[in-house]
Amino acid sequence: MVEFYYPETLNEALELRSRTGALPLTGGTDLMVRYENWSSLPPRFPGSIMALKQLNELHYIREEDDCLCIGGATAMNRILEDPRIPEALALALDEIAAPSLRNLASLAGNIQNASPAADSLPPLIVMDASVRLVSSAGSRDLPVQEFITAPGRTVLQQDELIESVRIPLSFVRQADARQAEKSTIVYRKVGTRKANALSKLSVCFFAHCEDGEVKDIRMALGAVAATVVRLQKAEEKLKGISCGELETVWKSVKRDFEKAVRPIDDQRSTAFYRKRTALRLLDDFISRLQDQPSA
Amino acid sequence: MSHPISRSVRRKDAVDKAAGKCMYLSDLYPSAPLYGRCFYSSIARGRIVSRKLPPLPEGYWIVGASDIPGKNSLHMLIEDWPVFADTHVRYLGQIIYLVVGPDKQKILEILEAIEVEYEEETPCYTLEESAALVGGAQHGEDNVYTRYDINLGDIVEPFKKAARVLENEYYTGYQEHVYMEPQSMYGEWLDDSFVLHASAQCPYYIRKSLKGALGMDPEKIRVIQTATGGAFGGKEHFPDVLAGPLAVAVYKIRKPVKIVLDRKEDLAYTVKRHPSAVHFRTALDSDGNILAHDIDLRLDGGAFASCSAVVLARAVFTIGNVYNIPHIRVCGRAYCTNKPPSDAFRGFGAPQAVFAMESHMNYLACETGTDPLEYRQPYLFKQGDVTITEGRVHEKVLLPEMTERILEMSGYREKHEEYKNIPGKGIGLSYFLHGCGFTGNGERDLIKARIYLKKNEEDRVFIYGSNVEMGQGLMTTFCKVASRALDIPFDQVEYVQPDTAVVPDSGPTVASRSISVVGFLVQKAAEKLKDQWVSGQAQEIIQDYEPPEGLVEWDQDALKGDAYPAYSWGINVIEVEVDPVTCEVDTKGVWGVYDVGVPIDRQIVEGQINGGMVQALGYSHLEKLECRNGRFSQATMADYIIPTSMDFPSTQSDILDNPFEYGAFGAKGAGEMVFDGAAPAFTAAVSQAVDAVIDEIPVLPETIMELTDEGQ
Amino acid sequence: MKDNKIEFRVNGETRIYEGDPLRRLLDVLREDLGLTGPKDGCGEGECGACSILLDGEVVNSCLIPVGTIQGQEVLTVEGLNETDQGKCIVEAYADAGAVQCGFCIPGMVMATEALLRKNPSPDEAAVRKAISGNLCRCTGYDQIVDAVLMAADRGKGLW
Repeated sequence: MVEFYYPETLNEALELRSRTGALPLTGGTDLMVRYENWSSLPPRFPGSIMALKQLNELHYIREEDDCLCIGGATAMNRILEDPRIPEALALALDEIAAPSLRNLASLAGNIQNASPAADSLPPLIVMDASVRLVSSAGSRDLPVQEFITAPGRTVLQQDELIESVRIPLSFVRQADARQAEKSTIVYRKVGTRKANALSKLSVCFFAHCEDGEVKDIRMALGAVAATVVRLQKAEEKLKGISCGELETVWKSVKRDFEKAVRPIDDQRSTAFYRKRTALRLLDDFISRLQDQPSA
Repeated sequence: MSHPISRSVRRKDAVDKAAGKCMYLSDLYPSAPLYGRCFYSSIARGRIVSRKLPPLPEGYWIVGASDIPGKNSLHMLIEDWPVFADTHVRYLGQIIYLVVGPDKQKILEILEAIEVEYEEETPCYTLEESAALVGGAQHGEDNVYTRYDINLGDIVEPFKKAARVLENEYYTGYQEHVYMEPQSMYGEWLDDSFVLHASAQCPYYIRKSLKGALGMDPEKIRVIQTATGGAFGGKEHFPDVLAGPLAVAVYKIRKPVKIVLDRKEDLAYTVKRHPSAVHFRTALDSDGNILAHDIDLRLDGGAFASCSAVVLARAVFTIGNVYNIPHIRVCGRAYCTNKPPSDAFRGFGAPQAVFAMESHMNYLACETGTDPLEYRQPYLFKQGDVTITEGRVHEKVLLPEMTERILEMSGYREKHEEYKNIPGKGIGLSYFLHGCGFTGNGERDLIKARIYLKKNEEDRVFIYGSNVEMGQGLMTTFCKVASRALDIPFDQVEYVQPDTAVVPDSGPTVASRSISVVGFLVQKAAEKLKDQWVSGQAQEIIQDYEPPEGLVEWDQDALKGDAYPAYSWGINVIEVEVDPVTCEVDTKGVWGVYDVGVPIDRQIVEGQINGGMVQALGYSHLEKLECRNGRFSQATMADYIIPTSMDFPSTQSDILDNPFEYGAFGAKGAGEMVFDGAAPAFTAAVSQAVDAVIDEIPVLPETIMELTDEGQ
Repeated sequence: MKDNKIEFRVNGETRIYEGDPLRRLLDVLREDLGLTGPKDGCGEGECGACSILLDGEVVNSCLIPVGTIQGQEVLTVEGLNETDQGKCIVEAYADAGAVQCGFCIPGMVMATEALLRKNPSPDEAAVRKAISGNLCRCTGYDQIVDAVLMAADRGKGLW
């Protein structure tokens, strides 16, 4: 029997979660589609369901512990309206589905759904964002990249919920408008159409160049492998080199990192297209960095 | 100069629809006493060897072939499509049973418990496999539903003396209609009659289709059209396919049953636009002038004939497009394959033909080093020219004026020159025409349209016909025609919602015929009523179709004569930018100039232009629909990509008046022609932007990447 | 939610629902309350034909289990059409030629209302973005965009 729970506090929710393992439903935009039934029948949920949207404790955006923290039930459009949100995340959220869906969908839900093509993931991973998981027993913070292990799979335990998504303020400041001339942020969604689209791939790149040197560089690619790929080893090779050499060094190392980009053919696009486009977007990013006046 | 009738009025149905008051079928019966859901074949081709049906609770039924009171066939053009698959299945999705009952959950459980065992046979999925009779012939001896041959002039001599022969092949893909309202119908048994309420284009087609299956007098089959939330050809014949099982169920149970397809069922199992492959061989003289075309045109008809023969006819009669070429040979064939049947879709074979011809003209221009616009000019039809079927272009042809207008609006000439030196930018152009009404003698010999015009004692006038309002504005334009001819206020005229018990058969709502052919009957009837008008008295006019005079007699065996009494004409220009990194195409400009005779309502015709354009741009590069092993890969609306409000800029258009003597106030068809030209203009633009020949739609970023990427 | 009763307001009236909380709000509106303005076009949040306002925000009612809207305010096209804003939008749709088959239009009208509440003088780009979750297969959107701009212009001061 599928039960529906409607906790009124986070504590009640956690107690229910540990007792019943009910599936958390916030915006419902993924779950309602995944378990869609014949029109006018309730969805075919595989187990009990627990609504979270009503929990005021999960609706907030605030700065704490050197992080910009976004409550787990906050809808994407509420996040988009907040001026403190880093540009990379705002760009990604703004292109997810359509306004009506973004009024329901939560950022935490997009993470928990763990689709390889989830558009919020490349920027979150570039920003080294983490999720705070809470249970009746306590809480733990995990980088988003470690939280997701495979398509549709996360390390979320049966008694846990995503309490918040946390973006390091150090990154927010680094990418801040005042640093704009020194930092470059690219978010690019290659979708099936210009709006209300699912991604063939999406990428987020960040670089901070100062005094002719690459101080920081980060590259994340979505929908090109089973989970979002962050090219950490490539980033290490490029950090600290002079901007003028960037393109040359990139060319010499990029073959080593292409292996991480191993997309599939599906009805939405082809492995060839995804791979070539991902690499071309990377090349384009590097060459733009090199061409920058501050470089 | 614009005709006074073109001045726009507010559509009769607009406010109710916008306010949510218009009732579509699923709104009329939001919950039904009984629901029906189909059990579909899960394989593409095979013999049914055994069936195991679960025990049924009280009040539930599994209806199948053995319940059919009459013949197990639907009468469309021919009778090959069974109501229920009985011994064989020919496509994945063919209906084997209809499960009926009061509780949807219970129906699902019954459907899951039905076991059908098949002995699979080798299916054919491609034109080549069909022609090679893979798995044995399924239709006739050669798998060809219909073959039409055209021999205009004689191509033998021109090919002998040709300085060059150029050949190429062009492909178009599937397209799904995606009417926003899925297929919906409701059947009941009333006074010894089967009564069907349906979202449909052709109430009388459904009646004809069911007659044999029910073994009933057609007068005992009543079809009532309900407000139709989009159709585009998808509700021309497919409602027959759902109405068959529904009628058999209602006949058996004698209780009302409702079927509304879920979107996923609708995407997976309803009919689609015919994919096509068109091969051109063209003989050129030493100056690059066209001497003759030799054309092989193939359509993928899917598992049953439906109306493939007529789609093929229009494709073959349109393949010459707007050009006067004296020697053309065409071999046109529609093939049977083990995929969901292909069927009517806005344009009805013409978009496939126009895409092939226009792409080929671009190819010839490119190969001969000529500008594509200039290359076309010497061949453009003029009044009196001979058509591909040895008919005549009877009307004045406005192509020169239209060309001038579109060049002025779009800046095509300058941009085309400029973009030769700018990688990533391109602009393309297409010419096209669309024959109005049924092909050949169809209107005279098959349809024989009739309408009534009735006036009551309050002097209110009512139009009775079987042509439906499905979004195209017919309810409004018919009333405009009658009110103007009668010289009475628009609000004094009403359109009667088609119900076969009430309205005469004025034919189906297809083939760009409603306003030009049936609208003309409305005008003639209104003129008669005006002559006889007695205020305060009920009066009635019956108006039958009369063929236009002065046409070249049609010979259906020889395929000679006037295939259509008149043509609508158009020119499109599309401008694009291709992203150098991702190969995504950004459409920067969209222009169209049209001759639709006289637009009966400018705003309504502009609605057709804008909507047809965007639907055709979707067809050109968004709406990928792949059939793999008999199943469409794009299973949801998140997968099958129709345009949103963000995908294309607004369409800039103009309409030139060119009254047609036998159309309502000079009107010719508009609904389909506006779809025909966008694809080749779009691919021409992309082709210029990426400097590659594009001979296939949809042209996806994936295709462009493969054509242009050097890093592979 | 107390004793499995869900209380919410629809078009200004309080409703108490006691059935399966997992049913879609769309079905409750259509089947239980007879509000058939919201349409079922796809059932998966893609087409926007089922759009309504929930606490003033446009949402897809096919994606909402009714149990999750305790205490919230639902506005459907039927309710909107009773207001001056709703009438202004509906009239503009009719006058701009924005309505063809009409199946998507009630949802479009709700998306329009949501836009104009936030931005009473949108430009074309803002309109196109605001209706990007509402698919229309007939119009090509141009006349719908005209209608929204017309409503904004005629309805100055209403929003």
